[in-house]
Amino acid sequence: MIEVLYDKSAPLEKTFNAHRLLGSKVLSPEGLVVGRVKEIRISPDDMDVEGIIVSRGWFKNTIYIGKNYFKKLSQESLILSIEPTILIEGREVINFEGKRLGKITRIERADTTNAIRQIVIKRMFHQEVVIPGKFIQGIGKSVILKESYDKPEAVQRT
Amino acid sequence: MINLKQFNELNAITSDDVLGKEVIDMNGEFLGVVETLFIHPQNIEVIGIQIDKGFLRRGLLIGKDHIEKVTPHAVFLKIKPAVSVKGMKVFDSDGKDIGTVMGLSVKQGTNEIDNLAVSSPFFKKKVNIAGDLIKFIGYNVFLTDKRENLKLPD
Repeated sequence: MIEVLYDKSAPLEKTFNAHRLLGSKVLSPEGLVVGRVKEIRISPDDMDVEGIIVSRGWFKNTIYIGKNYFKKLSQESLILSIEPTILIEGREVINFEGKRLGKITRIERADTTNAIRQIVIKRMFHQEVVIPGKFIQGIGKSVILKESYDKPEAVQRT
Repeated sequence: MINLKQFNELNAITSDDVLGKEVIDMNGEFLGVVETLFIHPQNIEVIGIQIDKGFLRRGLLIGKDHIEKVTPHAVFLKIKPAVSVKGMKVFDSDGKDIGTVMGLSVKQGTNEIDNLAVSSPFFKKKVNIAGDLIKFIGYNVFLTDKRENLKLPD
């Protein structure tokens, strides 16, 4: 039997125990398992949940993800509204004709957002190449570049 | 009769331009290489291709309607082949783990999934999940509703 005391907050039955979220899966909208909830971070000013820290396993960096990237929260998992671009490191980059250009070695984002400012790719026996984010057409198992990337002025070498 | 100049103006390609090329699906996944080009014996039209997925792996037949373009480096598909779901995890709408796809069947002549055979440590045997319960397929499979509402066996 729980005594309830609240005024403008949601009633007890419309909330769930945040402790149960610890250790649950964090999924991208396409079902990629990003990691598991390690911590729930709360603002000390307004006592709201501001984000989570995601553990990704041994030898991988943990990630702090802000609540504006949350789509759905349940006792089973947290589903994000974004495909985290920090996870595309190591993916193959291909041009619009399917030519393999190299693998992503580094991602530079716009500040702390999920938007990609540029990526750095490397192919064996070749120099690293910087590709501005505006030339990315799609991100899936590989990163596919727009047709406009093959114009000579688009290429920047590191 | 068409002469060589007219063929060149059409930018026609030959079987050499297709065979051996890598095949990439709409998600940027490399599926294999084109092993065979199928041509209709009466109307001499291309029907489709067979993809060699690698050593000891079963080939994949793709109809020409699913081919987006042939470029100097690859053959791009308009689709993500349904067989790609094999090995994917299945989650309900809340992200609860249901199991792993062990097999599937597609509606005849299409890329549309009819049934998934899913196995998990919780089921005593493989369970069939109807294709219309699939909401989305990305890196893994999301179902349309929560597990308890889908009436899957315990």
